[in-house]
Amino acid sequence: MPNIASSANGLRALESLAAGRTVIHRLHPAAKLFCALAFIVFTASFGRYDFTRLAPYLFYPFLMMALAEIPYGILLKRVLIALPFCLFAGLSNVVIDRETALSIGGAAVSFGVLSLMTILLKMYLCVMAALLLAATTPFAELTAQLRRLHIPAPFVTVFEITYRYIGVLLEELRSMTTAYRLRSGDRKALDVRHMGSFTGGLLLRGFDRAERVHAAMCCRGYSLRRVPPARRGFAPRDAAAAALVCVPAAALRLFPLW
Amino acid sequence: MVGETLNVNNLTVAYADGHVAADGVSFALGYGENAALIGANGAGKSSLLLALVGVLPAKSGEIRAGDLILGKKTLRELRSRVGLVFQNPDDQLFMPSIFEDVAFGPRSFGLGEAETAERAEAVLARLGISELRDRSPLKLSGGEKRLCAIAAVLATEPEFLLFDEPTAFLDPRAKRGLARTLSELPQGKLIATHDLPFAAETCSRVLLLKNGRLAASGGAELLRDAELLERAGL
Repeated sequence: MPNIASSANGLRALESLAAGRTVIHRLHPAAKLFCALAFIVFTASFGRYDFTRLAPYLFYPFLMMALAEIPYGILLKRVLIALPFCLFAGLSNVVIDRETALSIGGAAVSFGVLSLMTILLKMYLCVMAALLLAATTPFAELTAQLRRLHIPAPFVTVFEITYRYIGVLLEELRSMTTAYRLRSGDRKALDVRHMGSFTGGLLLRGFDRAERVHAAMCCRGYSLRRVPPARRGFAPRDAAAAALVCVPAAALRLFPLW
Repeated sequence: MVGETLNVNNLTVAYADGHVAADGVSFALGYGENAALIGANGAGKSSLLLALVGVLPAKSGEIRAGDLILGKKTLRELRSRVGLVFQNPDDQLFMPSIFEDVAFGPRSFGLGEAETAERAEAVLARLGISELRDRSPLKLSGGEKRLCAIAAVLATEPEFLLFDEPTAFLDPRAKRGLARTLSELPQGKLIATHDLPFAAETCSRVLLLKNGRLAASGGAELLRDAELLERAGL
């Protein structure tokens, strides 16, 4: 129960952050989207041992969090969700690639360890860029911008609907879990015997609820193919902000400092 | 628009499994008129409302709002003229703030940002819920959610309002507030409910649905016909 509630709260926390009114929040969504994409492409394009060359990119998340007045802890906690996957991918390198790459204070650092650190740093930077985009741009504005960029409607719709239905599914799961616990005595977890019917019931309920949510959206004019007009035009300050992020990021990639 | 009528002619609605939800239903609802759509559980009230806004396709019959006949090409325009307030406000409210939710409809119907904001603020003020504009729908009481759901539909400036069990989840005080709010709205209203005292308080006309058929239609006196109501399962 607390986990379900905290997952739902996590979604709401990002939405609340996105409703801010700082200088970053006020930027055009196209500028923020472009910055995030460019940043991810540049950081992901570094080699497997380029840990030190990636380090200067840390300026972006910290600068953005400071300017957008986003508490560090909220996003850092979410980055940790991706940590096990990257650790799993990088640990095999530590075992296989044991050749010494450098030594720090007499301690040898293998190429495997270096590649693991690079993977972790890349993951941190890429996930932070995506989270910062979500935390500074209301979701509806983001998907509207994707439509204006002529991203195929089915992709945007799947993205949009998935995001909205996660909340719906969590709500159904929370009420079903509460009802289950109240009638299951001291049992703290779902009994294996009930998992099939519970999951099936959850899916059917979620499906039913999702249909009603979609119907309510359609009744108020929601259309899969409509391209919503921009709330305001792309101003010179948006271009300047995008350049402030993209030019240094590109320069650091093309002309590494070391 | 004053003088417009929502006409439903011989409407039949059937689900894919063959279950007939509405069978040859005909009625007309004038602008400014309040009609209660009553019937037992499963009588077809919600399905009928969903069909009136094209969510459920009609098997046969015609739905007309003023001069606009519901069809594939007119669906969007009809939905801007006929607004449906869902039974559960949680199905309807999904944006991070109430203002964004109220603005969702006008934006979807293609209004510019300035006009959307103006409409949303006006509707929130009209329903006396301006102070909720920045709140999350998830943190509101049942009565507040209901008013926000109505505001979200009113923002598209429909000529007819359809309500599906509007008193569900409401305490008596919130019900009284809702009745007051409805009486102040000028649109034609079709209110599906089995809350008979609420129907008597808010509606001058009654449509009684039984097994998908219109079993009776008349004035509010139908609500006092115990035998008729008993036969309809109410």
